[in-house]
Amino acid sequence: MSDIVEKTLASLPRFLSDGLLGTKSQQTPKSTSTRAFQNFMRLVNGVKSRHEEEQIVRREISVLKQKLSQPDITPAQMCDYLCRVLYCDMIGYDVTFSFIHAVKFAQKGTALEKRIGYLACSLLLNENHELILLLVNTIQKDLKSSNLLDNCMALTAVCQLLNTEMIPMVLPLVEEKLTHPRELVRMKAVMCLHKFLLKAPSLMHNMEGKLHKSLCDKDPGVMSVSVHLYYQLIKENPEQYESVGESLIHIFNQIINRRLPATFEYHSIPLPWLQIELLQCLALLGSKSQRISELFYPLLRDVLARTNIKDNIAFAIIYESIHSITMIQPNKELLEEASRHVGRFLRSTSRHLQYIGIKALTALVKRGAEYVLDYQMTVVECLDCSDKSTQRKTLELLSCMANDANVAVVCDKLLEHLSKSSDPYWKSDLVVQVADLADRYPLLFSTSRREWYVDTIFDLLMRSRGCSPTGVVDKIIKVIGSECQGEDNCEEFCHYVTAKCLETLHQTDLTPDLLHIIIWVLGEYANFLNHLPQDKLLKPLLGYFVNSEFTEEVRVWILSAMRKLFCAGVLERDELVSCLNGIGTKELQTYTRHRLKELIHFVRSGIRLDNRTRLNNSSLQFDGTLSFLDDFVSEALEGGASPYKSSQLRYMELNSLHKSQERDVLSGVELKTYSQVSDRSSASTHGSAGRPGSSEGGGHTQNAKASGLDMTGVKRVWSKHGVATKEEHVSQHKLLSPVSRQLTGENDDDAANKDGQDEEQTRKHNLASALFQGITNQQNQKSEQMENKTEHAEHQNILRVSGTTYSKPIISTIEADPLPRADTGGWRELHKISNQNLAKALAANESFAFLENTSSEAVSTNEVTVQQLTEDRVLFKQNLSTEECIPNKNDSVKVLPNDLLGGQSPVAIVKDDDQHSDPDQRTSSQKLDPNERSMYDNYMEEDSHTSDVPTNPDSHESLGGTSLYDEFYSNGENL
Amino acid sequence: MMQFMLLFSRQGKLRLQKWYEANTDKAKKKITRELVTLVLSRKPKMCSFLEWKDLKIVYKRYASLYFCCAIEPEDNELLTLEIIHRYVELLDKYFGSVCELDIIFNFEKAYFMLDELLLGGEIQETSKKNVLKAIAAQDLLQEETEEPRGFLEEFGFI
Repeated sequence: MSDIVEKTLASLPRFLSDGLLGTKSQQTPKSTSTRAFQNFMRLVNGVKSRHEEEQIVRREISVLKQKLSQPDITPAQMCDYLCRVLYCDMIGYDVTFSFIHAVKFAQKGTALEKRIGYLACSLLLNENHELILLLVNTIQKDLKSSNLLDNCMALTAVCQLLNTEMIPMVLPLVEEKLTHPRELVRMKAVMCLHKFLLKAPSLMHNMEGKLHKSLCDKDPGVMSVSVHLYYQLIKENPEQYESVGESLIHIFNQIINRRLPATFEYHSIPLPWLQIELLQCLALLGSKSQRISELFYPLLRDVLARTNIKDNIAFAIIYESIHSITMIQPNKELLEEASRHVGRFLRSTSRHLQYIGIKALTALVKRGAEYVLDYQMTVVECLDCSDKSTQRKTLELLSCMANDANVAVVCDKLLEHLSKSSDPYWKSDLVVQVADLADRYPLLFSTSRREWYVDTIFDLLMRSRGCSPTGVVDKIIKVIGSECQGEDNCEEFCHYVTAKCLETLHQTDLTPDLLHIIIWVLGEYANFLNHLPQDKLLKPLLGYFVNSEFTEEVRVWILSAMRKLFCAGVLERDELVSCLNGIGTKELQTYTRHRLKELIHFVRSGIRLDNRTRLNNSSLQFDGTLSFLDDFVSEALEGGASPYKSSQLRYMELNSLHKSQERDVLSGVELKTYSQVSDRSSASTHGSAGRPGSSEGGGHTQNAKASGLDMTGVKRVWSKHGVATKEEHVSQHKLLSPVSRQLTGENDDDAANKDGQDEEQTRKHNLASALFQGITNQQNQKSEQMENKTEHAEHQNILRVSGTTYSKPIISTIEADPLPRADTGGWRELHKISNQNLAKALAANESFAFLENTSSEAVSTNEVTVQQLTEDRVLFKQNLSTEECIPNKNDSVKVLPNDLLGGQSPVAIVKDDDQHSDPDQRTSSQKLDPNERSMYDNYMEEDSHTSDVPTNPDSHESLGGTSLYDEFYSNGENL
Repeated sequence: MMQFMLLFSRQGKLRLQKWYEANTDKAKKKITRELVTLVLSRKPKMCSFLEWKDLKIVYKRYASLYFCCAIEPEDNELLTLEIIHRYVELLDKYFGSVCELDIIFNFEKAYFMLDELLLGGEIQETSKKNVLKAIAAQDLLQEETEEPRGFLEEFGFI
């Protein structure tokens, strides 16, 4: 009885408000939530502090725990409890106790309970949870049920909850459902198969026929979900599924010609999701097959031609088409067309579309760098954009369009952003990009290029602050190593590298990655360091060795570098030994300590090893017998050392000598120590083996001494582990902290500097000219060159000098570097003028100061340029009067709205952001009043504005209006 | 494929979460916390797309609610924005004129709706009419068995 009363009360407010707003009461759903649930929600949402919330939720959870374990709960109560549990789970509290109840509830009888039970399971459990096993039975039963809704629920659960091992149990049942009379069930069954394909592709081998049948299903819904499956299959194996291409093209034609039901239209575009999926499939197929590509061309042409609708969904399709055009076998016309559409994206004022435009341009540039020429200024502006997302995409674009001439500028830009960024993921991304770029363009035959590489890499690692992914350092070492072995000028380069390393070594804040490289270089090319006073090297190395910020790995590198330096004669014996002895060994890990001891003995022993490893390693040979140590060994034996015994031999001896307890300890220790050493270089092996011999008078007590030494080592292993784990934690914290700091530093560069805009403009032009050099446009090159050949040459030359310190003004390449072919941005005009001005400046004997090309002078010349530039603007505007874009003083290239709207009557523009502020300023207590209706009401008032927008036919059915979409349309209008 | 979808308020309170990849509770909490702060810190005029770890985040604000999806790098961002929009359209139609409170107090309904639209991270049903039809059929079962027979027949489910 009370239940009914509760329900009536709960539905009252809704009923009243429905009546007032005039919405159809049949449309509004009946709430399952009860008074208790609503009370709980109200309490939780009204809390003032996290502590208060915790108290309330904990109390609720203990109540729920008790209630759920009671034996006789009605289904309605159970629904209520589970809803509350789900809410607790969502706001982040542990509700493990309820999992079993959720599973049990899904097993129970009628549809409603099942629905909530399955929902609870899908939200609380995941596919790896052990309780899923209990659910499989229920799912099987529901799949066999004759009730359509049971089937649907079970299929949904299959999709969300089953793991790879359970798939065979339901696979036959799901396959059966592919022929179910209702399309909803068939659709869900296909979705399940898609999931299976992702999880266990091996089970899906004999499904071809069935899949094709669903692709040809008479229901467009089933057909579109089966394209998901085909996309997956094609992605794995494009060649095998080439035959599907024709069916897909057929489907595409049907969509374009609107032969499918209008219910599948979205904002008056037929089946946009399917269109995009088909574009993706065909792009994959077309990338491998010329035949499919050719069939695909007319379709793409059609899609791009029909896109006069200004709607995000239309833009999504255009973007996907552009992407497909760049993937398939290239077709010049289509690429031109794509480039035109990229322009529409880039010129838009909407950030989303600009972002997508940059992305599309990146794809296009992979087909031909010349497509970027039309959009130089836009790219430069995006680079300075206040939005990190756009910046990041633009940097990706830059690294894609890098070539021999501009790689230095591009790297410079990337590095600049690397030091600004605080997002570790982005940083490591940038590190990979820069390392890749620096590596991509051949280093050989150019000393300056190699030096640039080293400078860049050092700069990169200094700035990356530990964000470089594994493998990058190894790759760099490999590149440096191979460069140093080159035939020509390699000595010069080695000198440069070692000098650079020495210089960097004395800086204070080195990263471990950079230190690794430096230490490696110093060790390998120790021959170039002979002239150095040794404390200049030894001190910093020892400093890094004892520095607790670095890991044990770094210490081992340092030790091996010291050995190499000693062999090369850079470090002297006595000083090195005394320094090494001075190091406190307590803090070191066993392995490092071992290596340290080894090094001390080795240095003391006075063995001279030949350190010619790097320079002529083609003739490198290994002396496996270690014959060069013969003298040393015989000397040691004469001095009373006992002969070397292999570890097995010693182990057997120990066995016979000691009692069982001691034996265990010793054997363990000994195996560890010597097995680690055994794979090291020959010198170190011998050093450790010869240790007892070289120490004074220790020969007879070898066993006891060895055991004593090793025992202490064992103890320290334990203490050491404690220390080591602490260190690890510290370094982890360091890595994580930038994430939290990220938010504070992000909004700095927003405020535009109004005063310096002219300088800004010039700076941007210089940057653009530096960035886009070397990108040539083969098609229009000839005619353009004939017109302005001399002018170009002069212009390029000057710009190169003023813009960048990296580029080399080589006369022969200038002619191959034409200016941008089309003057859409007014770009060339600007440069013509600046060019004239610069020429004037040169004529006025300023040339030398200018050519010195230090930064301050460059800036001052730029200022002159800008002043004259503004004077010339009248003339300039006349030139541009027929162009669609007018560059104004402020900075950017503004697009007239007609350009994008393409002559269509513009739709009312609604400012969206002001509308948000109102509802959000209400206090939280007001918000929780269930009588309050719709924060979206204010959108409804705007409904009339959009009445002339083509909309989905069924979107006007609801009496309440299409409130939410106004914001959407207004967004679409920003173009 | 979509990895997860989060709905949260301007105050950063989670209103709905749907995970299409298996994650531990701890990981879920961490991801949610990070993303909520990240998205809330962005200005209204900024681009709705973010690169975050190896995923792409697409978010959109409707009045006081943020809808936030994580997709894979090769997915189409604009299309994801439209999935969000389609979901809001559906909720709007279903609840009359949807507001945050509807989603708070009827979150299970919002989940049911989402399950009909997206299954396993892929879009299932793109026709608005069909989704609403399926939900209506399920809702009818839920009402105590007085009148539903006729409705079920009308929708063709019996």
